[in-house]
Amino acid sequence: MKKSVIPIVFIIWLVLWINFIARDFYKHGNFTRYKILARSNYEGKHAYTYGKHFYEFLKFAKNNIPEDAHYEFAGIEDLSLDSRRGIYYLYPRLKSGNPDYLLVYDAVRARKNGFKLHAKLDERRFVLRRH
Amino acid sequence: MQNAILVTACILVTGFAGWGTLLLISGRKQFNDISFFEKIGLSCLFGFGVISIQMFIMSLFKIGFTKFNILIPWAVAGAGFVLAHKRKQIPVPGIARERDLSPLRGNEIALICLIAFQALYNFFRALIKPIEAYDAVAIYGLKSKMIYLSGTVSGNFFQSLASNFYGAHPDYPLLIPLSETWFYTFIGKFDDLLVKAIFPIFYLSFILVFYAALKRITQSRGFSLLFTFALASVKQFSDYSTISYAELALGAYFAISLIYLYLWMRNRGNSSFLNISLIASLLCLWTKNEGTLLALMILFIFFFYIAMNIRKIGKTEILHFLIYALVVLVTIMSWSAFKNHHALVNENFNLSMVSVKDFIQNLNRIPAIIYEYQKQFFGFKKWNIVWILFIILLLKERETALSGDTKYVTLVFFLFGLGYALIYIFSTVEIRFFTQTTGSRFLLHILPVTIFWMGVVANKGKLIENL
Repeated sequence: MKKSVIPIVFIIWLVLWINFIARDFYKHGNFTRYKILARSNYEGKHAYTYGKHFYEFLKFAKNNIPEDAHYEFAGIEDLSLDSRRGIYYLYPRLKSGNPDYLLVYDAVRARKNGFKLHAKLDERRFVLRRH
Repeated sequence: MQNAILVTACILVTGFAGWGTLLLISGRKQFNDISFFEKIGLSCLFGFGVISIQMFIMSLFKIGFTKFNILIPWAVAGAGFVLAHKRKQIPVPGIARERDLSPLRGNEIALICLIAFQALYNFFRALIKPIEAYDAVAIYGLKSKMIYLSGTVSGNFFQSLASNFYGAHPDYPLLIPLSETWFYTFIGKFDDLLVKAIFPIFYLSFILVFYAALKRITQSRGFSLLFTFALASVKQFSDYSTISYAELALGAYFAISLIYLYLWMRNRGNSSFLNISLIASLLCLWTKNEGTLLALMILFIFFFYIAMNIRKIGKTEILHFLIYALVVLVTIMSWSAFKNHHALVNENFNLSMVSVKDFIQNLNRIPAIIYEYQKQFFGFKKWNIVWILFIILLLKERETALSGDTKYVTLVFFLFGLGYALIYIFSTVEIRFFTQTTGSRFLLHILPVTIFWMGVVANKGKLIENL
C-alpha cells in the first residue's frame, strides 16, 4: 500500500462517518425525535419511546391489576417488541397462559368466556378479569 | 443535577473496585507501569465485572443486595490498603509511569475532538431514551428488574425466568443484568433511563484502554489516536454503546484479553499483562454464552504460542500457561455445572446439537453463512470501510501478519470464523433467520481486535509515518 493512499483512505472514512451521522439526524427523523425527547421528563420519554397510545395502556393496566397478578395480552402479537416491552414494564405482574386478567389492547372483539370487564380506558383498551 | 451526581458517584465507586482489582493483580511496581488512561479504562471495565461477580456470590450465600453489603468488602480492603501503606511509608500507587508530555500536534487535537464528539453523542443517544430495544427489555432489563425488586438472585430466579419468560435466556451469564442491578441499588431506585449510562461508560473505558495499548506498541500518539478514532467511529460499535446490549462489553473484554496476552508475549517479564488478560477472559465468560468460545480461543492461542516457543521459554512461562488454563477451564466447568444443576439449556445452541451427522447434514448452510458475512463486509452503513481495509491489509501485508508475535493475533480471525461458523452449522435455528439476526452483532465481538490488529500490522509494515 503506497503511503499516499493513507490520507485518501482517511478522507473516505471521514466522509462516510459524517454522512452516517448526518443521515441519522435528518433522514431518519431523529433530529425531531431528539428534540421532543430532550424536552420530555422521565414519563414523557417512556411514553414517546413506547408510543403514547401503548404506554398509556400499559400504565393503566399496571394501576388496575395487583402486583401478583397473572395476565395475558389480547391484541398484542406474541414475541413482538410491544409484547416484550409490556412484559418488562408490567413485571412483577406475570404474563401467563392461565391468566387472572386479560389486557385488551386495540382489539374490540377480544371477549373471552369466563372474563368480565374489570377496568376500561376506552373502547379499544380495557382490562378483563376472570370471574 | 442530583441524577448526574448519583451517576458519577456510581461510576467512581465502581471504578474504585476495578482500581483495587487492577492493583491486586498487577502488584505495586507493575501497577505503576500501567498508564493513566489504561488504569481509568480498565478500572471501570473490571469494576462492573468484579462487582457483578461479587453480587452473584453474595446471592449464593443468601446475602441481600444493599449498598452497604456490596460496598463493605471494598471499603475494608481500601482502608486496609491505605493503613498498610501509611505504616510502611510506601507511597500509594499512582501515576509513576513516564508520560508523553510533549505538546499535542494539530492532527492529534483534531482526532481527540472527533473521538470526544462521538463519545458525547453516544452518551446523549443512550440517555435520551429508556431501555427499549428488543433484547435489552426481553433479556437484560427484565433480569435486572427482577433481581433488583427481589433484592438478590433468588433461589427460584432461573426457574421463574425459564417458566414465565420465553426467550429471556435464563442460561445467559449475568454481568450486564447484575451491573444494572448494582446501578439501581447504588442510586436507590429503579431508573431504566439513567442506568443506560453504563453502556457509553463501557465504550469510553474501552476506547481509553485501546488507545493506551496501541500506544504501548506503536510509541506514537498520533498513530494510536488515528486507529482509536477508527474504532470509535464505526457506526455499529458506537450504536451498540447506546442500546443496552451485551455485545460491546463482550467485544471489549475479548479484545483486552487478547491484546494483553499479546503484550505479555512481547514482554514476558510483565506478569500483570497476563493477569489482566486472564481477568478479561473470565469476564468474557461472565458476559455472554459466546464468551466461552472466545475465552477458549484465547486459551488456544496461548497454547499455540507456548507450543511454538517451547525451546525458547522457561518453566515459569509454562507454569503461567497452566495456571491460566486451569482458571479458565475451572470457571467454564463451574458455570456449566451451575447451569446443569438448574437445568438451564440454550435453545439456539447447546452441546447436545453437536454431532458428526448434523455437521454433514448441515454443510449446505455454508453458502448462507458466507452470504451473510459478505453482506456485512460490504455494509458501509454499519461498518464504514473497516472490513474492506482489513481484507486489503491481510492480503497485502500477509508476511507481516504471519510473522513474529503478530501471527498469534492473526490466528484469532481463523478461530473466530471457524468457531462462529460451527455455531451456525449446528444450531437448530433456521439459518437465514439466525444469520440475519445475529451476523452484525457477532462481528462486533471481533471488531476491536480487528482494528487493533490493523494498527499493529500497519505499524510493523511502516504504512503510516509522520503521525
